[in-house]
Amino acid sequence: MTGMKATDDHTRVCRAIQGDQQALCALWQMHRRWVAAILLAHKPKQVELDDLLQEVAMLLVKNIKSLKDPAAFKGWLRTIAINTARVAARSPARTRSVPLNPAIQTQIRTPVDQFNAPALKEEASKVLNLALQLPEAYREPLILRCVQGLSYRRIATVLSLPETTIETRIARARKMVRQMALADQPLSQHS
Amino acid sequence: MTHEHHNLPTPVDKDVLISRIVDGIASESDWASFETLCSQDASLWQDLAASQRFNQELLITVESQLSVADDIQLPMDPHVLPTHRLKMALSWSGWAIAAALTLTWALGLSTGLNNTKGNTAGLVPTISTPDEAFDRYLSLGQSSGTVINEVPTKVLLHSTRLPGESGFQVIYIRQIVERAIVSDINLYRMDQDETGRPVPIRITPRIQPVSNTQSDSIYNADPI
Repeated sequence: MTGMKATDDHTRVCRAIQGDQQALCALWQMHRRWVAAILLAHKPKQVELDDLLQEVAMLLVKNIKSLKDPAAFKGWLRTIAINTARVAARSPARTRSVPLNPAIQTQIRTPVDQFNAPALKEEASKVLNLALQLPEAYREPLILRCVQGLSYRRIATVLSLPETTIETRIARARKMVRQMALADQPLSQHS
Repeated sequence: MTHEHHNLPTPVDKDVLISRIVDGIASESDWASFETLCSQDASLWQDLAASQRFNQELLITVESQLSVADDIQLPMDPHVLPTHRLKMALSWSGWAIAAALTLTWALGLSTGLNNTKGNTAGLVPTISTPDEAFDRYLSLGQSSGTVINEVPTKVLLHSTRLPGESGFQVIYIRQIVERAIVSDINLYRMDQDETGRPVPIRITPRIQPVSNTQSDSIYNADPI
């Protein structure tokens, strides 16, 4: 991220804390993808990602004024996301509300819809499942690296870790996924 | 992306080299190091190919999963958030159902439901369908302050494909958020004790601001 962008981000956070709704909306649009990645890395399987993301959005609106240090915004938002995922994991039962309006249903995105071949789609889902089985320290940076445009430097900022640590962890995570995937017989048959 | 690894110590670990190549950020010296390693262990090429493939699949899958984020807008009024409304609806569902039944019954009497002989003289609209009755209930409730609104989403209970592939029959719950003012909140529900005997449980609605460590539980249930 350039210095200019970082300054813009800092200014938006300051304005959002002071109650500027436009600044808060802009912040959300800039950061919601990696927040979703954090949720994906931490959420229980049975809970829908969009439900949790909605929850984080609500908590952001409610609590932004309590943020003391604007520089800590990313770490603060990550903590909210992780806590939200953990609360969901502790909840014994969550009811999924299904919009019945056909117009809304057609807008629902189908996950993994960029694969034409069913076998490839299945294999890709398996790779994601393997990645989600990694220890937290490796899982989180690896999933964040899949967010478009998220560099090692930005991942390091979000996770409050040195950039070199992020690179090493992502490399280790890729190695672990590769080893697990190749050890998995049905997956290796497609090789 | 530009090279992001200038401060890393050398020699670079082979997995880090593979990772850089996968990310497309490997420098010329990285490639030279990797080729040297491969000359000693050719299986590293296979590791690289596998890493490329799995990373590509992971990228597309995660990207697809994260695409839902683009649809999530920031709710700017915390007091009318969907989740907040849902929690309210859940916490007061018992009241809402009872109130809905009572109001519908009352509306039925006052607006001529089950009483087609009455002369309304055009003063009260005739209600002839459940939807009309429901709309009337909502508007009357909102004007009197007892009904806040209906939760937009419905909870799907069951769906069955109709014969001839003409569609589905769906059974669902419509949720209504109502307002009630109570002087002494002592609500009870029946539960079982450790021996299986029925025992009343006092439920106290907990009203507190949402925090980072909030529990999804909206009740404190204390056995009496």
